[in-house]
Amino acid sequence: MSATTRNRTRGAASEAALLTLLKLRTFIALFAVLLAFAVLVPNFVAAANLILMAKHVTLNAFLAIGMTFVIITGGIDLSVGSIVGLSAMVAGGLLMNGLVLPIGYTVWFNVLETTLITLALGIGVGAINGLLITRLNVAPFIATLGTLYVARGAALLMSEGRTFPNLAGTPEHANQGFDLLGGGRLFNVPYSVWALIVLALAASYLARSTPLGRHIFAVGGNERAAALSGMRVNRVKMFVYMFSGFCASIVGLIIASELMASHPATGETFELNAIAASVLGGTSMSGGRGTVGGTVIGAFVIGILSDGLVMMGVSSFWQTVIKGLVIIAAVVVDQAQRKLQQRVALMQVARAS
Amino acid sequence: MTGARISEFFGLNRWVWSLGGVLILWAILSVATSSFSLQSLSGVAVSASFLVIVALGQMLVITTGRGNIDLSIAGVITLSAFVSILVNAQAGLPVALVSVAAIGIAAGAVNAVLVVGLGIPAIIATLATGYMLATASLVANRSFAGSGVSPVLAAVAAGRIGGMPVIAIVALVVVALVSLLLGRTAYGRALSATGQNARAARLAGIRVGRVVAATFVASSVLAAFNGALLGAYVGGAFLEMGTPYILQSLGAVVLGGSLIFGGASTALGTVFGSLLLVMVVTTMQIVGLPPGTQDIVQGAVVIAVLALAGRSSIRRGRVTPRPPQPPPSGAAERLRATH
Repeated sequence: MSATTRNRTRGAASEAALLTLLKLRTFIALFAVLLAFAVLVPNFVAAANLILMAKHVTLNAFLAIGMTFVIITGGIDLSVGSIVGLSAMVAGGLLMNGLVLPIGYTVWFNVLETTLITLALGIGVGAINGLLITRLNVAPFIATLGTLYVARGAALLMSEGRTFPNLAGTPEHANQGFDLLGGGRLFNVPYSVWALIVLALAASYLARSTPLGRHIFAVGGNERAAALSGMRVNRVKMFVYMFSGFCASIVGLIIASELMASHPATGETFELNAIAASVLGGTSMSGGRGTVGGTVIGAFVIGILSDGLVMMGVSSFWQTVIKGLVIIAAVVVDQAQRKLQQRVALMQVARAS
Repeated sequence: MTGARISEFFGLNRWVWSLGGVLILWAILSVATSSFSLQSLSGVAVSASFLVIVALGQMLVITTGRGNIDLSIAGVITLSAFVSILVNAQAGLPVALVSVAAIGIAAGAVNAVLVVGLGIPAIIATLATGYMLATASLVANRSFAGSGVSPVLAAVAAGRIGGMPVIAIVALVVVALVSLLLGRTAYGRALSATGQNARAARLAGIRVGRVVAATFVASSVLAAFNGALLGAYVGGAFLEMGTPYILQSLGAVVLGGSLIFGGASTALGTVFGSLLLVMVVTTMQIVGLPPGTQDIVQGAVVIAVLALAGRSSIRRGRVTPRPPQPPPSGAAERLRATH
C-alpha cells in the first residue's frame, strides 16, 4: 500500500518536473539556437550582429504581440501582412505626394502627423475586422482573409503597383526626418527596438494587471461563460483586432522608414511568422492561454533561426522547411503540455482529498 | 402553401442564388457592352473551368467543418505547373503525370497528417505547407530552362471539340463525379455527417479521421492536375501563378451556397459560384480598372456573402459553431497558467 503511494508520489513529482521543463521550452529553445549558432557561425555573438538581429526580430515581434491577443481570444488575424503593406504605402504616399483633395488642393502633413494617420489607419482596418467578426458573425479566418486581399489591393491601388522611391521629404512641405524611426539609435540600440520594449512592457501590463487583459483571457477560455458573467465580449474582441492592426501599422512605418521607400508588396507572408512566434511562445491555438513575454522570446527564436541559417548559407527552401517544422513541433509540444497539466492537476486534487 | 414550398426549394437548393447571379450579370453585360460577345463568353468558360476544378477540392475540405480549409492549393498549383513542364522536357509525359500526381498526394498526405494526426488547425497547417511548396517552386524556378509543354496537355487545356473548350468538358466530368460522390455514395454521406457533427458521426461508427484526411488528399490532387493543365494553357510556369486561386476557390464555394462551417455542400453551386466570380473579374478587366481593384472586389465579395449568411443564421437563432472546447477539467489550470 505504502509502496504504491510512494511510487505514485514519485511519478507525480517527475511529471511535475517534466511540466516545468515544458513550460520553459521557449527559453530552452532560445538558448539552444543561440548556443548552436555561436559555435557554428563565427562572429555570431558579436555585439553588432546581435543588434542587427534584434532589429530584424523586432518587426516580427510587434506583429506577434498583436497576434497573441487575437489568438488568446480564440480568433486569428491573417490580415497583418497586408496592413503592414498598406501602412507603408499610405505613409509613403502622404510624404511623397501629400493628400490630393478632389477640389484641386494638396494637403501636406509633417512626419508626426503622417505617423499618427498611418497608425489610425491600421487601427481602422483592425476595427473593420472586429466589426465583421462581432457584428456580422463572419468567422475570424475568413473575415481576416478577406481584409488581407482588400488591404493588399488598396496598397496596390495607392501607386498603381509602383514603388514610392524617396520618402526623404522636402523643406517646403516641412515633412523631412522620416528616417528617424528606422535609422535612429539611442545608446547604440535602434529606436525600433526601444519601441518594441515599451510596447511589450505595456502589453504585458495590460494582459496581467488590467480588467481588459483578464477579460481577453476569459473570452478565449470560455466565451459563453464570459458573456454570462457580464463581460462585453464584443468590445474585447474589437479591441484585440484593433490592437493587432495598430501593431501591424507600426511595422509598416518601421519598414518604410528603414528603406526610405515603400513598395506595395511589403509584408507579404508576414502573418505566418507572427503566428509561429506566438505559438512557439506558448500561446494556445484553442484560446485562453498565452503570454506576451513568451511571444517575444518565440519571435527571437524564429528570428535567430532564420538569420543564423542565412549566415550559414542554408538554401531558402530548407529554411522554410525548418521553420515549418519548428511551428509544427511547437503545436505538438503545446498539446502534450496541456494533457500533462491536466493529469498533474488531477493528481494534486487526488492527493489533497 | 406554394410560398412555403418555394422557400423550401430555395433552402434546399442554395445554388439557385448563384445561378440567378450569373444570369443577371450576363444579361446586364450583354445589354451594356457590345464587347461581351460569344468570344469572351468562351473565355469565361475556360477560366471558370480552371477555377471550378480547384474549388471542388476546396469545397470537399470545407464540408468537413471545424473551420477546415486548404490554403496550400496555391503552392500545389504553382509547383506542379513547374514540375510537369520540367519533367516532361526530360522524361516524357507519363513520368510528368506521375510526378504531378505524386506532388498532389504527398502535399495532401502531409496536410492530412498535420490536421488529422497532430491536431494542428487546418488554417495554420496548410498555410505552412503552402509556403514550403512555394519555396520549392522558387528552387524549381532556378533550374527552369525554356518551355517544354506537352502537346497532349496543351490540347486538353487549350483545345476545342466542335467549339466547346476541352477543359470545360473535363471540368464538367469532375463536377459530375464530385456531385455523385457527395449525393449518392456512402462516403458522401459520411462526409456530410462529419461536417454537421463530428462527434455524432464518430459515435455512429464513421471513421472521421479517414474521411477528413481523404478530402485533403483529393483537394491537393485536383489542384496538382489543375496546375499542370494551367501551365500547359499559358504555355509555361511562373511563380505566384497559383496565388489567386486561394481566395477565388473560397469565393466560388461560398458564393455557390455551401456552408463555410461545413456539413452542407453543393457541387452545382460551386460551378455557378465559379462562373459568377470569373464573370465579375472579366467585367473588371473589360472596364479596365487599375491593378489592386480586383483584389479589393474579390475580398469584399467573399466577406459580403459570408456576412449575409452570418446574419441569416443569427435570425434563425442558430449559434455559430465554435472550435471544440477542451474538457472543463483544464479550465482551472489554464487560468493558473496565464498568471
